[in-house]
Amino acid sequence: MSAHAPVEEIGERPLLPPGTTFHDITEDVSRITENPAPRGWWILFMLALGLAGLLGAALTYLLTVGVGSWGNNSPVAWAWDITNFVWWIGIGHAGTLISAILFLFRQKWRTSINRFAEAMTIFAVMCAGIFPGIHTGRPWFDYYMFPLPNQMEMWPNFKSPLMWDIFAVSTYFTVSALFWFTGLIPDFATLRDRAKNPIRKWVYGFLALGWRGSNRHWRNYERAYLILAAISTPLVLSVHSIVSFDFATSVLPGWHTTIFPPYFVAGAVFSGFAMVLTLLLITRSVFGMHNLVTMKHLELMNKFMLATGTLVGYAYAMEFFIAWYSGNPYEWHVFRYNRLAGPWEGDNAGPLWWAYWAMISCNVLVPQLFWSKRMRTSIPVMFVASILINIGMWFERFVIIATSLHRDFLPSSWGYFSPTMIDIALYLGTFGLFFTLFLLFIRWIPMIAIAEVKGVLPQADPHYAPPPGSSSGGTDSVAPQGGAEVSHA
Amino acid sequence: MPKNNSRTVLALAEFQTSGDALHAAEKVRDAGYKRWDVHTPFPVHGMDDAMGLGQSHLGWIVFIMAATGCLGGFSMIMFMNGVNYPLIVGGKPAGAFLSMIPILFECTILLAGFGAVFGMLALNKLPQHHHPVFYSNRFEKCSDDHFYISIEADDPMFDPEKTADFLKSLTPSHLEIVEETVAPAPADKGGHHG
Amino acid sequence: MSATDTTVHTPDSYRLPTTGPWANAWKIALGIGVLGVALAALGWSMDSRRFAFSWLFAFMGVLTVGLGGIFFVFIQHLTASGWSVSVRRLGEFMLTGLPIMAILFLPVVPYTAELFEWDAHASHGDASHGDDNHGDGSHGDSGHGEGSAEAVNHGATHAVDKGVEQDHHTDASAPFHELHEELLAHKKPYLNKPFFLGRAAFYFLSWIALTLFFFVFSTRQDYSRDKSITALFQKASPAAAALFGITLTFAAFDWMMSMEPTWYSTIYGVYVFAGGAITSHAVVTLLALGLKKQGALGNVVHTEHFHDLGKMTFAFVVFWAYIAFSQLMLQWYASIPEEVAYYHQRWNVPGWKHVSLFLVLGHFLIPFLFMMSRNIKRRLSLLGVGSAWMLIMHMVDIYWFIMPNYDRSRFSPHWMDVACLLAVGGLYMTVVFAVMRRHSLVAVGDPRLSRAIHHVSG
Repeated sequence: MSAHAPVEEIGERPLLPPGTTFHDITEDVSRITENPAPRGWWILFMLALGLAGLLGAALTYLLTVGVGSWGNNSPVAWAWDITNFVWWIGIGHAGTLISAILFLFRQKWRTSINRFAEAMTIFAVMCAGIFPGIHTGRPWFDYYMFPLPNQMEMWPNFKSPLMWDIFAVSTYFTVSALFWFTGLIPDFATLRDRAKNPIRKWVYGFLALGWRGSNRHWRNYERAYLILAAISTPLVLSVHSIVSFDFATSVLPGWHTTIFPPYFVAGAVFSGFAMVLTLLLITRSVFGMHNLVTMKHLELMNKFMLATGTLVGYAYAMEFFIAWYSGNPYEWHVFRYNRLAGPWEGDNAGPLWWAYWAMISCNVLVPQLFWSKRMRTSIPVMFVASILINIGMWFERFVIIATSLHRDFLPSSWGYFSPTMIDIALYLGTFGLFFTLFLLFIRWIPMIAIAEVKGVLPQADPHYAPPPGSSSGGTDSVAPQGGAEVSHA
Repeated sequence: MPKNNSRTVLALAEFQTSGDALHAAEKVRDAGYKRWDVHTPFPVHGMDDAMGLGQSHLGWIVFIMAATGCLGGFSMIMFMNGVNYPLIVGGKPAGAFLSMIPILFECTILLAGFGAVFGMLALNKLPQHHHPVFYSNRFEKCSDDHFYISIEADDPMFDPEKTADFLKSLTPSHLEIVEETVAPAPADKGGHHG
Repeated sequence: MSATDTTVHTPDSYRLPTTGPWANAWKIALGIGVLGVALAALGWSMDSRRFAFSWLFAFMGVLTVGLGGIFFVFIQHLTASGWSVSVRRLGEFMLTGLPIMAILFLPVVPYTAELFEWDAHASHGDASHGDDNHGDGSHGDSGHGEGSAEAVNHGATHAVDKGVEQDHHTDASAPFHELHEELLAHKKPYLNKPFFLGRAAFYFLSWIALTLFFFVFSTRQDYSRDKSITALFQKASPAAAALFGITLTFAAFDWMMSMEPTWYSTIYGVYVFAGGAITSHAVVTLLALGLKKQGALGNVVHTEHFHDLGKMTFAFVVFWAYIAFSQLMLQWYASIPEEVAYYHQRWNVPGWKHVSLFLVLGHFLIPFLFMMSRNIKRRLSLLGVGSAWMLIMHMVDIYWFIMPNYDRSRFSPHWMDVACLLAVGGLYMTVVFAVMRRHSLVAVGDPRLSRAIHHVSG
């Protein structure tokens, strides 16, 4: 219907190239899981597997020797461990944001990237979960964190934000995985129906749960999807808010500030989008998905990064302003001298000034490039920017943790942090785990939500009238065959 | 007509566009069939009305689960930190409510999520890997780009010939009568799989 | 191409009815406003300090509604929403009352010393009794207020604690500005009257510029049907959002947060924004319901749009609760004296505890449960009840921000609160309704109008 046709003059474009059929989508997406993997996939997979091996080695060493093998010290008792945790969990936010919030706001462009981003969420949360688990020092006692009766006859302290984290992260992982699987059911059915190999048919058939596209099922399914989106939206806000509570409930200058919850959420979405973009650009070129992930999708993601990057900049500004306005000298010291003051201020400079400036440059300045249409539609620019933003968001967490801790109330106890090889190996190793899982995902699971993309094609609308000159379809046209042939099965 | 060792279980009409399927569904609804369904590769807007289906009841399941999660979380914290082993931390009373809220929220969402997914599966009677529509080879295109209307043989109005004629009048692109092989004896076995 | 588009929407298709309640709405609003002004003037002559607080409350309550209108409009352009074209004009009307808010701010100007302790400090200097030292015309009046005479004797700081232990004050009997001299001196580069007024001028200029931009171009599009105007809005909305965010935040800091100048919260701007965002959706809903009842909106606005407006209201109710909880929980948990003083004032002072509880219930829990149901959002009369309720609760919220500072020892409502609300609200509505008479009620020139009409909510 013409009411739904894009209005060119105000910048509206069809999401997918005109003339894309339902079958094109089935074909383009399923093919990736059916054809032999391209060489690029194998190269990346071997690299990822190697890094995952590094993770295994580093974890083994850590468990043998203990967390003393990290650079953590007094006063910097939290360092790369928690930085990496917050960074990974932040990356895990774009998936649910795209699948839930953009769904509620009917942003149809999400359908080309939501599956991808949801997978990324789940794997990122897995990587994130490693760090709080091991930073306890004796991870074999981690079960103390769960509300289980134990030999000490004590219960967990539910007033501790670290407990809230356990609940938040595990709920987030569970609900994200359920959401992801729910979205996959119809697509598994597509793969099942296309499968020639009986094992393949059996596996996808098993996962598809006997889905038969029944409208009686779609009715409940759509309601379930809507409800999952509706509960995931506050969930995604809550998770990073609770992560921010780990810091903000304390009285430590640089940690205790009320804007932390929404600021962390904005930052998480920001970094998540950057990571989705990095991965998407690589995958898109390796698998040639230019028709499914178009420049329009990429441009919208860049706009989103501009928006969230600016929100993060707003939070930085608020923190800074209130640090001065509060009149709290310790707070001001953290912002003014531990972070802002560089070598140009002589002795006033803190040793970690460069981390703060790396954060500001990558998170606030880099996204400003996207005000320009030329920049946000240039693949090389957005690729580099997305990586810089990921780096900047890592630094943001490092700045929050390390610059606040290393020079706090008493100058006599000031210190410094330098990472050890184990710190670095663990961090790199989580990339290995992440990419191994991710590459397996894009190889075996439809990485674009087939049924959802079909649903946003113009001809999915039952009132769709094909443009003049097209022969088939239409609300009152007779089926092409003219009449029905009857066959018996 | 059914051969000796087979019986009709389903009439399956195939349509090329969502619009055709929608209009056909309205006519099946108006004809008064009860045990019938539309099969589409993606949810078609307006199909629930065309089939005469009401609102899904899933919301109630989720609501009850969410309330259970919230109350369950509250009871857990209250019992563990307030009653069984009262814990005063940071000058906050043992049963302080504000510091419970994050966990209450997570418990609520967790059970609501279970309610949504498992409730949806239960309402849909899934997983159910066996269904007569899968006898049809053409039906494999349902998850690709074709639309189907199926009328089951155990619908009270089902009559092999009349129903086929009726479906033909809806101008499907293809019509198929799906039959099921029945074990030779006893003759009645294996009738219903739905 | 499609038969559904045969209706031609002209700028005259959707006009305010010339008969019925809407025809004279602006006169009624003017009547309310004039009555309010008269009562407020009477109150002012009796107790100018109370007048200043009541007026600031009314001003902030109405202002945040108007600012919410800016948000409502630019967020539609920022997200390129098609569904909201039907109702976007109603949001644009909400902006047209903003210029008059600049005039309605003027009564605050002479009373900054009564309202803001940092200014009391500044104007008192070293004098212990500052009644005579007030600048800007507030002299004399403050001494006559009988109810607050005692407080005024302490330099308008009312640190007189009747039975309330204020453990964050080292000496509860000393005036506030003496206790916090060092802090206030530290903040003086920001909290001083010339800069305060300069910033206010900047905020109003920004808001008037945004109003003119969004309203004038949009109404011009009714006639020209120039699609490039929509493109222009979409292009400019990110910058508008940034300007809006900065001005709203600092206006909230200046006009409300700085009433307790030792207290601070980085989330405060977001907090005030959240309230305005709820209210703007509630007001658009109410306007649409009222106009639809008189048939002025034809078939352009229907249940689907109301459903979506209800969903947005609901979403922002949750967002407000999230922000309010974040601030409360973090300040409660950390228990830093400068911070908890805020909640101490609103919980441990007799009467205010009930207002706080009422906010938890009335601003979050009840509307949350009420608006959750799809059926309620689609039953227009119930949705109207919910929207009106949120508008009232917004005023309670603003009251809760401002009024504890009037008398730190008790909850002290006053008839002037209502009088000033009538005055400010009435005059604001007079402008809005008068402008509504002269323009189409629907943005008929927007190229997406027919899509909006055919919109189906989920």
